[in-house]
Amino acid sequence: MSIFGAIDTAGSSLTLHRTWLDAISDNIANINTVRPTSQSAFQARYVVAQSRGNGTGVDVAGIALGSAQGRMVSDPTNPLADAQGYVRMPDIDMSEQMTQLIMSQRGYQANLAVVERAQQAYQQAIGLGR
Amino acid sequence: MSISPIGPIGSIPVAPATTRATGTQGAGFGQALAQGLDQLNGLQQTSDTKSVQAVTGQLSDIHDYTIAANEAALATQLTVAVRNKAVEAFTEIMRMPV
Amino acid sequence: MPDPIGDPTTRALSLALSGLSLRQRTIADNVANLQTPGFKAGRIDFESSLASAWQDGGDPSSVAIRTTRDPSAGGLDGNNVDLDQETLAATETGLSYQLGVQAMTDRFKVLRTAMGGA
Repeated sequence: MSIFGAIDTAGSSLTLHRTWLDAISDNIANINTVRPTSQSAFQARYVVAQSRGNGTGVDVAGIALGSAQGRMVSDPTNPLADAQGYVRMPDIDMSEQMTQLIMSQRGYQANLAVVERAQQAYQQAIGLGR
Repeated sequence: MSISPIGPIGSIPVAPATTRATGTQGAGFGQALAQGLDQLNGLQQTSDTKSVQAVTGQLSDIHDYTIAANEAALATQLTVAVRNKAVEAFTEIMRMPV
Repeated sequence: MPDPIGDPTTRALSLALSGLSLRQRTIADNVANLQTPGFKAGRIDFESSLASAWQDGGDPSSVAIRTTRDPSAGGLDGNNVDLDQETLAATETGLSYQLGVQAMTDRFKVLRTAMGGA
């Protein structure tokens, strides 16, 4: 572990939470992206986190994609509608995304607090005995 | 009745030289001082090594360095104080009228 | 008699401080170019060469501070500056710099104690 281990560990989590935040904002931005039934729907993105296991934090293991089927919605006036008047909407729930948004923000803030506290502790260690 | 002649006076046992006593005490203090200097050298070298390790990020805890630095500084101050007292005492003795 | 001012430890510490202050400037440059397309983040390395020079008993002042560009692909516009990592690097560099300055101060204080006789 490096000399400032706590700060590096919190840093790995900051990267994870920011990636999560990016994924959520992408999901919310595309919540009304309509596709014709011949194509797959817009797939929601989920960040897969994996602990490093040796006490040094967390890594982004990958991005999982949501349902490709989406929801079939009847919208005959839409230019992309098929013969029966259906289009594909993404299978994303706005309230679930908002909840995740708040969780990712809190997680990000919590890790920033860890960095701050660790920095104060290290500064006191540097000034030991003065 | 014959009177025996007075024999020669035997040698008087002399007390052991006082220099020998101070000699043992002097060796004790000198040894202690030399040991102290060795220890101080060791502490200073430890502090040096740890400081370079700390700035190159190899040390796992910051306080390892700061504690070593404090120990070396205190040992230096102690050695310097002992040296000053010894020099003061020596000067005092030299000033004594014979 | 060993030279008390120019000895290897003092030279090693002063090289480390130079490397750390260069790193602080590089971090500032990276953050300033956060939105520049195609910009590759700068990295400073002196720790590994200083550590090996110190262990071999070599001359620390001959160690070079290397500036490189991070070659990773980055985002869509080619910019690979990660704001979180740069912020944390700034925090850590500041702490290391404080530590280095404190180490130098300690050395000079010990010298002064020995010279001045407490």
